[in-house]
Amino acid sequence: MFIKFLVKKITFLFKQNQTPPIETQSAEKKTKGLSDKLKDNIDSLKLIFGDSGDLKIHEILFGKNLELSGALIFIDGLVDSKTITESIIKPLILNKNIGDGMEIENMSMDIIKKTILCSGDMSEIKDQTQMIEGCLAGETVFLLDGFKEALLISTKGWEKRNVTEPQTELVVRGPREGFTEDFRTNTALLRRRIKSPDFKMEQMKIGRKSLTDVCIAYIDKVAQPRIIEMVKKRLEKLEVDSILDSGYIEEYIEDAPFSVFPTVGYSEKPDVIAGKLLEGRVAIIVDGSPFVLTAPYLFIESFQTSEDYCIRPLYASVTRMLRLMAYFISIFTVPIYIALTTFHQELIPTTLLFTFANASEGTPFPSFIEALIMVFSFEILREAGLRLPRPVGQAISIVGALIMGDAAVAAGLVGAPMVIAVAFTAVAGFVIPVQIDSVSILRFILMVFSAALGGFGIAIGLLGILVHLASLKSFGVDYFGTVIPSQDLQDSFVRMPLWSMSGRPKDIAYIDKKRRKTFIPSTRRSNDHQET
Amino acid sequence: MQIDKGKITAVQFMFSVACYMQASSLLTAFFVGITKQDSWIVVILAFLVCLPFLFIFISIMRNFPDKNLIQINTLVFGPVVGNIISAMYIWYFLTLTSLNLRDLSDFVHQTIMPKTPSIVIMFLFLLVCAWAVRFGIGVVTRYNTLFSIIQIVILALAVVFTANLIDFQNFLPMFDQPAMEYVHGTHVVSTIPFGEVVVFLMITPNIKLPPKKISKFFLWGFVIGGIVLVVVILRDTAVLGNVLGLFSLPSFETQRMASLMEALSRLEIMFASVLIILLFAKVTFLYYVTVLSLAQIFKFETFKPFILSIGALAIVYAFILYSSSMQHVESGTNATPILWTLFEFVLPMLTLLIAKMRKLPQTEEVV
Repeated sequence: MFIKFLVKKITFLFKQNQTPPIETQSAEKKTKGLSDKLKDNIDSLKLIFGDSGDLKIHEILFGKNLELSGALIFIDGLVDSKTITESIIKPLILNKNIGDGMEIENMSMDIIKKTILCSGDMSEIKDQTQMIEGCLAGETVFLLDGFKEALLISTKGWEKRNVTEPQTELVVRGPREGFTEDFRTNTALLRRRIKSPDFKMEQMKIGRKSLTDVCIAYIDKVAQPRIIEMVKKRLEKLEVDSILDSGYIEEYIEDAPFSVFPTVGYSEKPDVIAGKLLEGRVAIIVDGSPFVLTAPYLFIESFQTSEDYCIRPLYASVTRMLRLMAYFISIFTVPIYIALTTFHQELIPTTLLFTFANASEGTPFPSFIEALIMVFSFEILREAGLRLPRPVGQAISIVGALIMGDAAVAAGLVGAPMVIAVAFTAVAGFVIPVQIDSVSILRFILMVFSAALGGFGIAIGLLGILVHLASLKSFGVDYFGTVIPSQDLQDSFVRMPLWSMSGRPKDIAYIDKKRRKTFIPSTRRSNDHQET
Repeated sequence: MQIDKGKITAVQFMFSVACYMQASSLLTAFFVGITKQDSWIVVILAFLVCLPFLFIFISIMRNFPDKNLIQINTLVFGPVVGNIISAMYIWYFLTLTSLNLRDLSDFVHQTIMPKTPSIVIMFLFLLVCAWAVRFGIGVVTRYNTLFSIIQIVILALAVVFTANLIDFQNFLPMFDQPAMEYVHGTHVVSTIPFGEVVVFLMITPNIKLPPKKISKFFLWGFVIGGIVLVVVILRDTAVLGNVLGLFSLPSFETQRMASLMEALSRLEIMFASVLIILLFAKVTFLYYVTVLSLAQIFKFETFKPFILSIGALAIVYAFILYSSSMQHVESGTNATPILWTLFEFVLPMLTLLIAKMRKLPQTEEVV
């Protein structure tokens, strides 16, 4: 309620401050036809681009008697100069037959396109905006004096990172490819995994200034049209000037922007995204980001890794339960420790109580303050270790782990049990990297609750979290859905064998619900034996 | 006009009923005082007594599948009498909310946080409940399945852990008390934990199920709740014997006695957590029902404006209900069952009779 009020207030203030609506793309896009004079075209282009150093205008003369003059326009760095030389300039200049046997008046762009140039991807355009957009997207514009048309020749070729193993989501077993910053590479990586024509990728451009390529990928009849529509609508509604990473998109389209729980998923691995697409989810690929988004995103997905599906189910289930446990440990250990030592000493077994009492005898602060110091310094260390150059980062972690932890106890600032509790919490938190923000924020909130009200406070906090989780929805699907017993349990706490998971997730998949025929491998094999 | 358009599945409904009754199984002091070691007999008798009434509830639900209790009252008794009866029901729901809230705060006050004032406990607890109620029936009943299963698992564990303390001599002497005591006990048990399922008449339109199948799920939920109650009473009696009636929280005492070779002791923490989560489910549900019925009677489009005011009222009411928990037990034993009989048995029966006489659901269909 309060948050809603706040949002209303903020939007109201913003509306007041807003300057009159900026002229958007539609205004800029006023179609202006090309002139048939080469010089006019080049001049107006120069006017638009100003003194941009990377705009190259390469004028050429060709034909038998060099009677034809044309120009190649492209942005340096976005194009592959070898392609331009080999497949555009060379055929044009070396081909002395042009103009031979045909009058210039009979020449057309079509003939040049079909008979001379050697490129697989060309299109004829007639207006200036298209020309500029093509240029900026890395295509080469071919203008010819005396023609109102221009040719757009695909010569894209810029420096890009190779497909490497991603830094996050490391696996012992399973594919090691990761997405890169290049849009086409990413779509190709996905297309290579799902070869069915049902796999659709709808492209659009978002951002007035950045004109970022964004692609909505889904599998027809597997993804619900309702969800696809919702994703599309939210993306189309965006009135922003730039999209520099998929994180921007995530923030703009998520359901619960004020929640600590993420309602849009992301992954850096094509096999993970392909798996999610096959479950009926919608993926959003953003140019310039190696992270592909998926929606809807459910709570339980944070506990699934790509490796779960590459190793045998029994151990996969065990590790998944371990991950769930680690999540609860990392949230609840410190609050429970605070509650036990502050309010419910009678619940601690006597011998352990003596140890605790011994440890905290010399320390000056109550356990809540101790926990605050430790959790806070841990977060600082983590941040420092992440941001610093790698060799220094290691030094920091050694300083943090060995010196600060040990010294804090030796100096009598904090008790040893607290150091253990916080360290345990911290390590457990790293098991579920996706939920790291919810872990650290909820841990802190619960610490306050448990310091104020002990076990009852923790219970209240937990119930509050549960209520919040139950109220969350991700693109119309219950966020906390699969925790309640249902058919979808096959892939939640446990990972059932692949041959037994016959259906796609019930809440997400559309008409094509069946994934595979259920069978038990061993029985099938015995049948084989009988037959042979 | 349906205020809350949320839908719950049949399984959710079933476990909501079970969870609601399981929440009552934790606080048994008010009736084990009457028949002591024979309480389990009383529970079974009450279960049998309540079955016909359960079918009355079910047939009301079947006859008016898209109406809640308040709408049914207006329809059956006419606008004036109907609204008076509805107002009485609202008082009944509010009282139940406050009673359960008070139960929780008394429990927390006695066992976990003796120095914290009750107001803090109640306020925070009800704040979380209010938050859940805000999102409607879907969130209110969301965790009931989970909570119900957790309680059953913990009950099973507790039975195992207290197995070494069980003494079957504790059940003796059997059938050795005046007949009136049994009647009294049966009355108490049938009104307080069992008859209270009348509140589920408020959410009939929200169940995603053809009305004919409701009986199965309602009955199963009721049976799960009843079995849990019997098992709890049996375990407590077997462990504690006929001093059972002396404690204000017999189950808590039973679990406190459990210890497994010194390794696992202090199991009452499990009881405490189960009690908090189950009472959360129950209070939230009753709170929701109160708010919903108030919005319904005043013909509001939404129930949200009532949430906080009803919450404040429930807290204040919980304070003035009783001055001590023994007084609570006393009234639970003697006064409440007589009052509740009206709401749980007499009025539903009247509703059904009058509805049958006026042939109401049929005319509704024609219109």
